[in-house]
This record gives sequence, structure tokens and C-alpha cells, in this order.
Amino acid sequence: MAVALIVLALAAAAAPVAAKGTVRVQQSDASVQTYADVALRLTPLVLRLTSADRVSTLVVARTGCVAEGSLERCSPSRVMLERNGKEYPLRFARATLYLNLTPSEQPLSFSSTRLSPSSMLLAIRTKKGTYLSGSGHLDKAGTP
Amino acid sequence: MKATAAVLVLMIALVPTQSLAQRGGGARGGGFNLNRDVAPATANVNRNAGVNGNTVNRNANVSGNTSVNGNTVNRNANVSGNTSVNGNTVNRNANVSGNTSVNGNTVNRYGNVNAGNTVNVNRTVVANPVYHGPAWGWNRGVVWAPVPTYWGGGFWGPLAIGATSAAVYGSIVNSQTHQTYTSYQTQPSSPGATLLSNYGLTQVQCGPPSGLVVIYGPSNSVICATPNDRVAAGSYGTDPSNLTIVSR
Repeated sequence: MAVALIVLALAAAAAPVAAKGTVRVQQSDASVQTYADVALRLTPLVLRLTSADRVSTLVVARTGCVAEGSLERCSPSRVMLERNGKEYPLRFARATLYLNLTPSEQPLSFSSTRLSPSSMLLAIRTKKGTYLSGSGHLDKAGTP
Repeated sequence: MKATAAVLVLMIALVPTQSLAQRGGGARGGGFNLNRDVAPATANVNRNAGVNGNTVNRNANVSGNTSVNGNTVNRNANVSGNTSVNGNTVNRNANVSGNTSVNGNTVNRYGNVNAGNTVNVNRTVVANPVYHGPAWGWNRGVVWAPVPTYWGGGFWGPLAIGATSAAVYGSIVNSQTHQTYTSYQTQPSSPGATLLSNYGLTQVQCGPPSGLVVIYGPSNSVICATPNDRVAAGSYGTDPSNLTIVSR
């Protein structure tokens, strides 16, 4: 029994850490909500950011992507909010997604910000004046 | 028994501390709070053969469309006879009619867009000769501080509304809206100052005589500059994300 529990404990410890990030939402009235432990999932087509309570998921289309140095910079054409089994289009004025899929830290152009290896940075300004920014480490970039 | 207890202690110790942290999805729980920014699943959609996942509202007439997918179509006086409108934002048009296909475009603020036009851009983008990157570097990843108490959202500098310390640089009266815009001195190192520097422009007082470069920034802000070989006299809007000016 004890041996089995030890094995179980070691297996749990060895399990890969899931891709997690943080999402910050600043409303137009300047109030801010910060969401920790956001699950990140990058596929060839979209980036999915799921809240820790799994109530909602932001789906950011991985479109309009160009190489910027070693980074991938995307200008998503669509951002959807999935909630209660329904999809709602996010009406945004501008959205930019940076992906660092390299194993090394990369600088952001014209910025002091640096992206750590296998990480992403997301910035969205909605038409209602909400600023949404997200960042986090990607578990295994490019795979569903 | 002691061995079992020891193992349990070991397991607890191995649980990542992050998993014990906030798990409720944010300050209030219930997932991301974007209620003000998402459109309802369907709203005010009439007389169309197929309209999916859109917001179509405030139109006097929206008729005869075969398919309108993934769009925001609003404030149109007439939108009619379209066969397919996909992935677009179409708004504030007096008339948009007779188009067979409008794909991936933004069509807005035109008096008339008729008879099968695909793309209609009546504005001139004056490319920034220096700056080619995004503006996310300011304010820790956000374009600039979107703080209401900052005049112009901080684009031209952190000038408080009505602050006596802010140097007034004249004013501009919009010929169409008759709204008066007070101009303030641009602060060094602000995004707006970078924009002016990139275009080789020097800020001057707004107001008569005409013949100035008038640049409207965020939050009803405006600054004026003398024209140069890159930027002719006239009115311009700004794209703060890439520090580009667009004639208007």
C-alpha cells in the first residue's frame, strides 16, 4: 500500500506542468480583473485561453501572422469568447499576439519587453475600450 | 500506518503551490468578465436568409442578403442586395447595395458604396518613416495608460484634464461637428512626441491661420504642427498602435 502511494506521488510530481498564464482585463471604467492560472493551448489555427474555473475560453485566431525577428506576430481577425457552450464574437478594435516559439528569450521590437522561451503575449483593445492582455508559458508550442 | 501518513505528507508537499492559489477564474469568478464586449448570440436580425453569430442592429433596412457571417453590421441606413458578406465590419454607411461579395474588409463612414465594389478606401495613410513596430512596449504591454484622468489617454503625455500646469497650445473647431478641441503641449518621450519626431514635425499652436497639420489623437485630443516635405497641411487621424497618421 505504502509503495503504491509512493509511486503515485512520484508520478504526480513527474507529470508535466500544464501551460498556464495570466489574463488581465481592464474595463473602460478603469476597474481591473486579473485571472491567474489560465490554461493556454496553442494550435496551428488558434490560441485558447481558458479561465481557471473553466467557465469561459477566449479563442484567438492565429491569423495575419508574420515573422518579426525570431518572434511570430499575429493580427488576429477573430476573437471569440466561449461560455456556456456558446460562442460570442469579441468586438475588438485591435488585437496583437506575439509568440516566441524558440527555446531562447527574445526581445520585442521597439520595447523593453522580452518574451521568455515558448511563451506568448496577447494584447487586445476592444471597441468598448476594454484592454485585455495575456501572457504565459506555452507547454509545447505548435501542438494541439 | 506511519508509512502511509508519511506518504500523504509527501504528496501534499509535492502539490504545486500554484494549484492552491486562485482558481476561481478571477476576482469575481465566473470566467473572464467581458460582458460589455461580446455581442449577444443573435440580436435584431430580420429578413435575411442566413445570418450567423452576428450583431446586426440599428439599420433602417437590411434586406435581401443571402448570407452574412461573422460580421458586425450596424448603423446603416440601407444594406441590401448583398449575396455574401464575410468576416467584415460594415458600419455607418448611408447606402451599401448591390454588392456581390465583400470579404475581409472594413467598410465604413462612406456616403455611398454601390454596385459591386469590393474595397473602398478613401483615406491616405502616411506611413511612419521611422517607426515600424507595435506600440505595446509602453505601459507594460498595453498601448498606453488608458486612464480617464489622463488627458488624451496619455498619448501626448500625462496631462490631466483641466490641469493648469498643462500648456495650452490653442484650439481647433471641427468644421463638421463644431466641437472645440483644446490642444496641449506634447510631453517629451510620450508616444505622440515620438510620432511627431518620426515625421519630422514640430508642434505649434493650433488655430488661425490655416495651413497647419492637424492631428487628432485618442480621446478627442488634437495637436498641430507646421507642414513639411513628408506631411502636407490638412487633418489627420492617428493609428496609435503603429504611430501612423491617416488623412481624414
